[in-house]
Amino acid sequence: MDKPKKVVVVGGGFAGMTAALQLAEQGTKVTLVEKEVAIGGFFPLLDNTFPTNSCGVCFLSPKQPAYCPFVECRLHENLEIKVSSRPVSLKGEAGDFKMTLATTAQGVDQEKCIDCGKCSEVCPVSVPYEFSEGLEERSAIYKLYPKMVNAGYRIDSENCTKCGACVEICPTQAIDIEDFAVSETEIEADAVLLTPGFSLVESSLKGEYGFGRYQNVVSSRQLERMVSFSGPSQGKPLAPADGSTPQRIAFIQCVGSRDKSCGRGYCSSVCCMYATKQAMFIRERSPEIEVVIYYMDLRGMGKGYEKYFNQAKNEFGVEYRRSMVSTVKEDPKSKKLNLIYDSGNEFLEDQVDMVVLSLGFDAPTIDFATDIELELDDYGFCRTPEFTPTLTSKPGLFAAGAFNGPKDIPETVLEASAAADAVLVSLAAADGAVETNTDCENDSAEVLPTAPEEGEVWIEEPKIGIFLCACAGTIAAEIDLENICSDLKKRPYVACAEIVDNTCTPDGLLGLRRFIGEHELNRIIIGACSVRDMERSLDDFADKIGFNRNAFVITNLREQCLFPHMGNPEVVNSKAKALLSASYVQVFNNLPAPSLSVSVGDRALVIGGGVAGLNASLSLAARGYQVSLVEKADKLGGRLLDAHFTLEGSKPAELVEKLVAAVTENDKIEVLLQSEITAHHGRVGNYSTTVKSASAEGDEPKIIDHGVLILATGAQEAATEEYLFGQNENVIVQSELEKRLAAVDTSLNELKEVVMIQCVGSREAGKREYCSRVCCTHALKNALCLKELSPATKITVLYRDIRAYGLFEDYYLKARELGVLFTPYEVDKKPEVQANGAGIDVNYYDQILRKDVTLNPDLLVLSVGIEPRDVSELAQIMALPLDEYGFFAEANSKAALVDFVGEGRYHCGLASAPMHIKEALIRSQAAASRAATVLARKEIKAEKHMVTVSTRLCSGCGLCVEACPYNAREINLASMIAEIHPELCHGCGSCAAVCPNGATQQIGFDKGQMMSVTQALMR
Amino acid sequence: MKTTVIDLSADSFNGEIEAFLTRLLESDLVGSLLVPKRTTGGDNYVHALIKNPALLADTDIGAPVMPVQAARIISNLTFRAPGEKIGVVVKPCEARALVELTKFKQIDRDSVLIIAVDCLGTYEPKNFSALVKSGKTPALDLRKQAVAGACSADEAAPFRSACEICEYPALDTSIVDMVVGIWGVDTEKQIYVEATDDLAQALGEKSILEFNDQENSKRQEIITSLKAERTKVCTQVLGDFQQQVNSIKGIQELLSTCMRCHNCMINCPICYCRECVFRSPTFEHTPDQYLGWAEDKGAIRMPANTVMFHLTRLNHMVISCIGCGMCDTACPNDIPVMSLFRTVGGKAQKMMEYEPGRSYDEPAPATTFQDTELVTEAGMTGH
Repeated sequence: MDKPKKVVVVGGGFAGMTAALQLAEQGTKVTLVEKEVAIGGFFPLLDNTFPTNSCGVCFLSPKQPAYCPFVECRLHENLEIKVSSRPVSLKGEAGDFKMTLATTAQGVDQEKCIDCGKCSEVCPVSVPYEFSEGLEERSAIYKLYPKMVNAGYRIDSENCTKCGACVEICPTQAIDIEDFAVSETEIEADAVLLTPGFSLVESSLKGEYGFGRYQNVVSSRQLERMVSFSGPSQGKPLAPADGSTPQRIAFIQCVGSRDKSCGRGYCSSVCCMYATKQAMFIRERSPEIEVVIYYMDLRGMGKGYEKYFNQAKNEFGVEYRRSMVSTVKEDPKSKKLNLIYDSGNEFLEDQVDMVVLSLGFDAPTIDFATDIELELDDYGFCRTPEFTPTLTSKPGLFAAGAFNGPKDIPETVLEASAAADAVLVSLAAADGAVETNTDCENDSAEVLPTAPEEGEVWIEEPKIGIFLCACAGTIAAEIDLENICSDLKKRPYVACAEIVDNTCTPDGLLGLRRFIGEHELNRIIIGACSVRDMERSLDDFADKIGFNRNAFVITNLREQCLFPHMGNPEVVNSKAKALLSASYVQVFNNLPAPSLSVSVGDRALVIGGGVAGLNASLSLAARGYQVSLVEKADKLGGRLLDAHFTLEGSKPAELVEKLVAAVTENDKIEVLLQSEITAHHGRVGNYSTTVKSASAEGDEPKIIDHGVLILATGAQEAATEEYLFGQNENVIVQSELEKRLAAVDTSLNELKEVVMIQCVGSREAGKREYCSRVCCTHALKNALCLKELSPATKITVLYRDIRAYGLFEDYYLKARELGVLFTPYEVDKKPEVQANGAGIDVNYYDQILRKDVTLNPDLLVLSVGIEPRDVSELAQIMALPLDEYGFFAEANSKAALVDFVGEGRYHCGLASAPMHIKEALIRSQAAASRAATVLARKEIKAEKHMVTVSTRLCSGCGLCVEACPYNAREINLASMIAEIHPELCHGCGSCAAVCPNGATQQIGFDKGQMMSVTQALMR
Repeated sequence: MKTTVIDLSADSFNGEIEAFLTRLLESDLVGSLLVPKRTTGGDNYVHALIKNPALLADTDIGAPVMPVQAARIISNLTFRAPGEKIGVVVKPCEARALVELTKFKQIDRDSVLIIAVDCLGTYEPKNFSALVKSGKTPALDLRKQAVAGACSADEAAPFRSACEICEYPALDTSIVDMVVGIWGVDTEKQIYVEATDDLAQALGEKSILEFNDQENSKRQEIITSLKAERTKVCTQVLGDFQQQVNSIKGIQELLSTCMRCHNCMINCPICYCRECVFRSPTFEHTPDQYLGWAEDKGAIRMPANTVMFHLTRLNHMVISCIGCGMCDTACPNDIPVMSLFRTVGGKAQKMMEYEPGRSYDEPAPATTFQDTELVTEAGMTGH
């Protein structure tokens, strides 16, 4: 077997963590390099994220369902993390890179540090905490991110007085106040992935807004801390000047974005959304505070984001004002702030108590960029080709995330997945063979060794270990854990009962492991949080230390005990005891989880032969997997066949030609044209799908056995009847104009005036509430092309918000410079279009002139947007969910955009949401990457909560067969016993529920066990 | 459906039936017959599985007694296809139980030819014996009354409580192959028969029975009015019962004499489990469990889990309860189990728009999903 490939990932933020984990999961040895003392990037700053307004840290993991990536990165045996390290040079070629890392000691030995926090307590120094830009204070020895587990302590050598108090108190001798040495190491890599992320612009960048001079002007970073429950003001904004609750808060958008005057012409893409999120939190927690957001264009291009804005406006009463704020002035006496803003036709003033500056992104710096001639754009972002968006100018060097241009978390996660895929595809190509070995040798000391054999704990005398999680003080605050522990210790068979600080962290788990060894435990109760949060990590942990998964029982002391009865210690404590008693009985009666493994097929089924389907198929085939590509039409290519040029100047025709040729030539890809899906069943790793081809009429339907599924069924241009479309030949849609421009239709030269109307049918509640994402750029590219062809043509774009997000902003600027007129309209005052003889009248209310204006264009071009195809039948056959708009629903809108709930089936391209070609390419690669992590596993552990059937008790009545939604039960006609297909069982328990005499029992929910548990709870 | 009326010479009802059954058994339409046959002691009737036509003597298809619910026996005979067709002579409640058991795969419907006989009411087996021993002819006495549309029990013994409120004194051929009609029929002179078209044709071709399409409209009228009357009585009786048992305490009192002999379960035709969960390891409690419960509550009733047993049985099969009342017959302590089941069952069946024994095509509610039932928090929908 070849040596495992080595990849270095530079930057431990979302992108880095996501890509590193996906690479590690597929057998690559990964070194994740982080310049700070802990991985995490910007995430620890975010209390909750849009558009779900939930924490979401656990949803960031490439593994689904939820599990914390910080923890997973630390636990994965193929992943080594190098913190406090900067890559200073990169030498060599793809397949043979040598990177020099400069690692700075931070005064604290991370291996020895147990995160007890005693050092900061004794440190006499108090300085502003960078984490919240001075909103809070910290000591000289401090944690990089507060609240964050294993965030790593470091000493700030500048402010350290070297008093030695911390050295004295440290229980593990982890501190050396003299050690700040820089050491250099050289690491080898076959490929390098750059995910250095971004930094926020300086808050004082725009002096006219008074940050640093006026106390009540805060940055979005500071506000994020204020609205965080873990922040200094426990989730409520307070005016820094006097600590009072402000009555009126104004947000100023685009600080350091869309602003050539400060060298940042690009749009930072996320500020409109995060400001809206923060505004909603303020209004939710302090409804008495008025919130107004000053913005230029409201940019929220994601599928559910329009709804989010509407929610902020209508439900939370957040006010949005389209205007540019020129200055902020403070009334020195009252500390109130006066905003002078341009409302379009006059300057107005607004007095507020607090101003929030929505800071944009700055490009990161890569020390060796110049040395290796890495192509960067004028702003310092990485320049990648439109149709290979994760490839840099240097072979073997990849890039993803905000380094490639500002983007939000979902796009970052997608791009990181796509980059992981691109890396693996290139490594496979370089090798000529495919590396799908996930059990590669372990050549660095890692957190946990490989899994030992599971012991026969079920026949041993029970030795129960009980661990109560303090949950970083949350649980310990109200539940008297010590008292409960001493009570539990008295019970028979309890070998130990201990309090653990954070069970969910690697250190927490390592602590468990120590106790298991010390007391030879064979059954364990963990009193912590929700099973949903804990189970996944504990299962993996159990597998790794050779424990049966069901030897662990989780008691939910948080969501099911502390949270609902908070402030009532008597109830909380007695309920905690009752819940633990029940777990005590449960752990006795648990049946062992099946140690059965199911092998995974090596074929992927891809449905849809458009750009997304083609690209995903090629990725998977390049990695050595078989692919069946099913397309409804009689040829491959999809919507791309009708695209002519992109805003960035690429030719979709060339892309589609290349993709189709590659797919057709690839002997690993079987293409089925004019085909439809008629049946589908199975579960992750083993699906069976029936395909009926119109081309092979009379033939039997083809049954495809496959391990994973990718849906890329596309979408379509939305239909419209608005604005005389279909009635007047001079009213056309953008795609028609694109076609004429591509054909260099000379009649276009003669156009005197063209009007474009944006958001036709999009962003309207009751119609298509989502933003179609591509129409603004579509209009821009056509306008630019038309101006080039015929500079004299007057072009007016009637828009609601120009969403030229990220680096597209430059094109918007260029269009304005070329004289294209952009005029906003409100949705409740849409333009009106009438036929006027041979011509057209377009009437609209001009917000700047404040009067009705009539235009008489020769051509009216409508931006109609994208609507989903009717895939309800397919969704039904697949039993897969659609979202409220008719696109396939993602498992999580933040971090699992190509996933359905549960592994094995993915979706991408326009079937998921409206997106550009480049984004469809990224998503399809991300889907392929997610799918490949399943295929790479080769076998999957059977469902832990699988059912068993007693042949003695089974009457063969078949109720279970009917009740099973997954076809996992079948009557054996010879024995008349209802057998189980473990590979299909999802552990839902429906069959056990209908079985009248308990012949079918669900492991973990055995009837006798449940009765004992209920009994214990009722005591 | 085909009908026929067979004219009888004086009082030869049983003889004519026996002759018909003999022709049937000698044909290749069935390989054996399951018919109520007089017991050796002569004072009762139980089903006999008959291969030899000569042994059809002393059978009585209309014997007003039901020591065992035939559906249970038929399940034993056909839970796996026996390789031949068995002709079974059953009462309406037995036929309806067959429908339910077919859904639970405990009957192979293709292996049975079902002949349902109108039911005039049944006596408890011991009462029936006593009547016979006292020289009475309970079967004949009832048959004579049936022509007028009302049968009264002998003054010496009442009908079984379930029969008093039974709304199914007769069936048509929708769930059985053949019906022998007695209600409204002068059985001293005639026998009335209905059969499915297929069976009628086969019987005709093999000269077992000719169908002359003669109908009996009087029988239909009587059945309709009987049903209406019984429904009224039933509502009244169960209403009274519910009044008495309308609380947890009421249930506890009702079941207070239960000693968990499981006779009701053993005799119930619907309780098809090979081994009841209450007789499985799930309910094999350890001594310390019992003692623990006793300690928690100060005292526990022994044997334990009596209410639980009945509630579980209700939960498992009340939706399919056809109200034959075998539970009442079986209970040594006269607990009105049938009333409990019919009261709860009536409501559950109405809720699910389900009528046990109505149709083979109606799926058992436990096996069906409505779309909305499968919606999880992830928004996933099932088939």
